[in-house]
Amino acid sequence: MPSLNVPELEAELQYFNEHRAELMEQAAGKFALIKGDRLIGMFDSETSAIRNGYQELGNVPFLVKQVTEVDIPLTFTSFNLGV
Amino acid sequence: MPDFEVSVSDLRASGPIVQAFVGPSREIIATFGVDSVAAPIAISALIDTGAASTVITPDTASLLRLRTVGVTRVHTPTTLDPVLCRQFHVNIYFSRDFAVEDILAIEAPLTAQPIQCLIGRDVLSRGVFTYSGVENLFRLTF
Repeated sequence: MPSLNVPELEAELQYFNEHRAELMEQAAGKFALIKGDRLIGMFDSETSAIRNGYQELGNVPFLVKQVTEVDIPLTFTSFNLGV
Repeated sequence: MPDFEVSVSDLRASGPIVQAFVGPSREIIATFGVDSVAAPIAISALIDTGAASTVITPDTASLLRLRTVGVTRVHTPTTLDPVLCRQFHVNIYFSRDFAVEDILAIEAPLTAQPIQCLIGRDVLSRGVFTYSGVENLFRLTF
């Protein structure tokens, strides 16, 4: 996965990708909350993971990511996005 | 149910653009307090059924002092490979007393039009969007 354009979450993305297989075994479909190279917790919903991130870490960058075997990109079919 | 109807002279030319506000999410406000977070800012938002997710511009995210809470890859008609984008947690205010809350919006520049936000299918999944080309109006109901 490219991470060049989100440098503030490079460590978190690296942790997630390195531990994806074991996270899949333990908690497939749940939402991982990661800060740096530390797994803060696993949650049933995206919103509860984000809430815990704000409450435990403060208003700082952190990664909430659903544990899936592969990442499925979001699709944009119009030309409005400048990426 | 909150109902927002917009009538324009030429809907085909302008597209379904709504004047709204975007601000930090309910979760951010609940955690840090309304006085500690940025106030919502006015935006022009295009309702885009071709957008899987709501989008805000980098300037908007910066003005709201939002911090990244996720990343996702996106496919667009102009990209060969998926592009990694930041995600921010926001509320979209359609009126003074109604907001669609806790939206995980992606950050991306928006081209060609004077808009700061795309309202994507994540927001639309919570309501009904009606587009009447012959009447030059559209309606959002939640």
